[in-house]
Amino acid sequence: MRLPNTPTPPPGCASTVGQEAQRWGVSLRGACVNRSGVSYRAENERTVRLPLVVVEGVSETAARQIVQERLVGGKFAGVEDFYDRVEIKRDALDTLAKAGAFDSVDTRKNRREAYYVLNVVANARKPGTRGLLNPQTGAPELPALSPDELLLLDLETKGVSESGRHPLDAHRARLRDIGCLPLGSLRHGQAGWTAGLVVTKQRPPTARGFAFFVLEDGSNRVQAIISPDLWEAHWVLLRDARALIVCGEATVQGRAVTLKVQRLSELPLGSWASAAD
Amino acid sequence: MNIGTGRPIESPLFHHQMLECAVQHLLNEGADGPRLFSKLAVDPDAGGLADWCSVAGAVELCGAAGEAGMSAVIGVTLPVLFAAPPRSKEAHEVFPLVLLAKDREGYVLLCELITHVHLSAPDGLPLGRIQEAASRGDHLAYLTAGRAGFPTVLGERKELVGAVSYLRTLRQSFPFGLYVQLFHGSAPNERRRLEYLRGLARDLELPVVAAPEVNMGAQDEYPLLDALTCARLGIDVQTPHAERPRNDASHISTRENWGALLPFPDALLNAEKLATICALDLRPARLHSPEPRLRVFQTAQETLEERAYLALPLCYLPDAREAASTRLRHELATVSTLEMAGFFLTAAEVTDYCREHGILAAGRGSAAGSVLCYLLGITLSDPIKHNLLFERSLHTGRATMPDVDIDIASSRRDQVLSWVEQRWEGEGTGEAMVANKITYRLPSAVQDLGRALGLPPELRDRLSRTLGRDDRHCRPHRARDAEIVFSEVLGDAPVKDALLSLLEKVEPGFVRHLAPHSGGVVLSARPLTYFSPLIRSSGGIRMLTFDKDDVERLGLIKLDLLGLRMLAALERAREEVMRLTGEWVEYGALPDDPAVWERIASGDTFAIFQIESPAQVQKTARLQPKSMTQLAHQIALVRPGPIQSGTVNPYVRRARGEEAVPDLSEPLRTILAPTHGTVLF
Repeated sequence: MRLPNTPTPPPGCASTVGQEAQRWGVSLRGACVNRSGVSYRAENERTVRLPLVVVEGVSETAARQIVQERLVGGKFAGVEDFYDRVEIKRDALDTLAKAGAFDSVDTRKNRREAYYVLNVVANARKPGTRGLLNPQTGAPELPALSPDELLLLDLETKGVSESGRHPLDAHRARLRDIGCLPLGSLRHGQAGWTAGLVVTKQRPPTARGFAFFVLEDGSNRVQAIISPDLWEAHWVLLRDARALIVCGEATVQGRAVTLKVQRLSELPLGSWASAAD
Repeated sequence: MNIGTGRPIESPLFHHQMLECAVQHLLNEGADGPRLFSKLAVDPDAGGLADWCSVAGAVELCGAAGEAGMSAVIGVTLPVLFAAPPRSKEAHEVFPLVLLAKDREGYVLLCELITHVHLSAPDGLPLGRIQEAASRGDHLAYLTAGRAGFPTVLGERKELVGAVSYLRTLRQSFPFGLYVQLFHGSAPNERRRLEYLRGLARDLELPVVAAPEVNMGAQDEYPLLDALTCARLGIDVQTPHAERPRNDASHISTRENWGALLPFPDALLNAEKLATICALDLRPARLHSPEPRLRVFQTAQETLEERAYLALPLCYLPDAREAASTRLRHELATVSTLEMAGFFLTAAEVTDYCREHGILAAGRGSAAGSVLCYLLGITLSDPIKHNLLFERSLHTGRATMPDVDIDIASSRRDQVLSWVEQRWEGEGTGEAMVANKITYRLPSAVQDLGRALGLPPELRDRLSRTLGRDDRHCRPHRARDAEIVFSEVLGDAPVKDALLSLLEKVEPGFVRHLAPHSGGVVLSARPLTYFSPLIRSSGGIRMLTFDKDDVERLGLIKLDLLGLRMLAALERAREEVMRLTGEWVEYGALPDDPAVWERIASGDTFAIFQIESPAQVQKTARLQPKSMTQLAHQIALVRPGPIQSGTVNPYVRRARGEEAVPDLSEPLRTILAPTHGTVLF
């Protein structure tokens, strides 16, 4: 029996898994065609390697196929080698390149370059076939991706980022300017403005119209209680929002923090789908 | 769904055809579930169903008819292959035939025929297969079906010779059970058609029966029936199609009304006679357990006792053995009275298999209160130590199923299920999954009905998305509550009102289709076709056409083999620990670490099974649980029961010492002491 109020364990709530791992002193390593397996794997007592299946569009069968080819034919030497040896769908290949699965095999460790090479070979021949006459795959000089772009790519393709960064990192100064406290420094009984990423949204039928949003910032999570009136007034915003700026009074008990929201507004973050959608 | 037009068996829409023998309405595709029959209580006679290739509504019908004091008639409409006349293009032509079960054996024959259609002959049953069923005794009645039946269709094609020869063949095969069906659908020339059918029957000396086709409860459901038919056919309401209902005449009506439309005393009399002959109640007096592996000359009960007493010294230390043995004797006596030994041995076989193959599995639910289950290894915790009651799972006054749910590591549940399928295969039909009746929710209803109304897919998707989290589980008849969403997407377009009025007409509990249940497996010693037809889901899983409530009412015992992701994670984690440190973690013998309780009490419970939801985080911070019992109470607090009965706040206040426990009279005080005087379970 699934209890109505227990949400299913979030399958990789935006950055939550990464942040939580960081708090416990575990470092995540990115998905990699030469190292990742089908499921999560501890590389040593403090490091966990992301599996290939976290990459969106890579099914369990595709991941198995990659690992089997790696076991039989040895490590992949590069994007082109991978393309020639494994026959998987084109959009899954694209996502793998964007997710940084080729970072370790690529010469310049630039996802843009991996993506470029992939597109050149994909236009020349079918996957899983070794071509006789190969096109020049040398990429032109491409600018490296900024940490922010990397984070957004990670979240978009894997739902979890090994970089340890948080989507709110890019907005901190701006939030401080408008007087928002970080979630971690809310004090009991204190009212004020704060901001966080929406992790889950719930409006259980037993709650008489109250909505419960979990906001996250770094490794801090707060339950925001939204009254029926507020919901009524802002329901379109609340339905679509990825991150919120809220004003309210906090109740703090250990790590369990609730916030009775009095006013709220959306914090625009850019375009990627969060797990709460 | 019409097999003649090459549609697959798994139709998106699941329809009921009902036969209301009060005045014998034999129906085709219906807009109503059998639920409707409670409304028919004014007609004190009988009600019936004759769905297309399905008896999925049968148990519900029996229940409703029983409550209303009517008798139920169970039938089915099957596609039958008739040999086409010589020199025609196709070798066979498919016509429907209505079969009614006269008794329990007849019902079994129906189940076998339906199973045959679904599993091996999706194009239609060869006539020989039905003749073979007929040769097994007088258990079935055969009706020539309504508007799609061969007498009507061939008559309209002016192929009278064909109709007569088919009727002759059928008469020869079913000498006493064949009826020519008379119906009235208010179509043009209906009287002439009736005269023709009656003439045909008289020429061949066959009895006629008044059985109008009925597929909706009330006249005003016609737009909904039409829209649902269009959705099923994949067309919109602007497209003409032969299968669409042509008018609103096929609704449930009274005996007088049908009598006026079908003024043939012999046909009405035959209908009444058929209703009496075919009255059937599927609900049995006792439960059926599956058969475990036994040694020769040993009954299931003896095997069970032997196994339990062998395990007793291994599970209990000498000082606790006395109490355990007394309790075991009591439990075994109950099991023996209810003849449930086979069931417990079967559950034990499943958990044995899991243990032997290193699959983490644990029984839960009320079975956890049984010493017997503990001794058999079905559950892993000692009920005496935790002070649990056996009577919660089974007592002699209880005729319903005991509830044994087995949680299995989700990654390996498929392995267990396929082993179960092999183990109880027997004659190929001893095992099947329980079905889930998938009913309409707002988004699915919007998709189906929107398509029928010709809404473009982008608009439908936008509508489903905008309905968002809160209205997603809303039943379609509550659509007006979400009108604001419809206005946002559709504006003032007339289609908005059309869609809303259709949605409002969808009955709560209207079944869209059947899908396999997530874990319910039914095991049986005799072929399951005795109880239900077997079909294959689109994922290739063999399943019954009844859901868990129906199965329970049929007297079958269901074993819930549920996949649990947390167990899979634990299984993996143990392996990883073993690989990295060489240490094997025995989950049954983990130490009680105060640091763990400290972390839980601080509200830091992210990713901890059952207590990571925001509501549970709040509760942990307030209640500060220090033991497993307290934690179990806390988890039990966030359930619909305690929330609705207002138990939560008194418990929390008393547990925190902010309020004294009220003085209760004696038996209650001891029972409710651990839960601070509140009724939690």
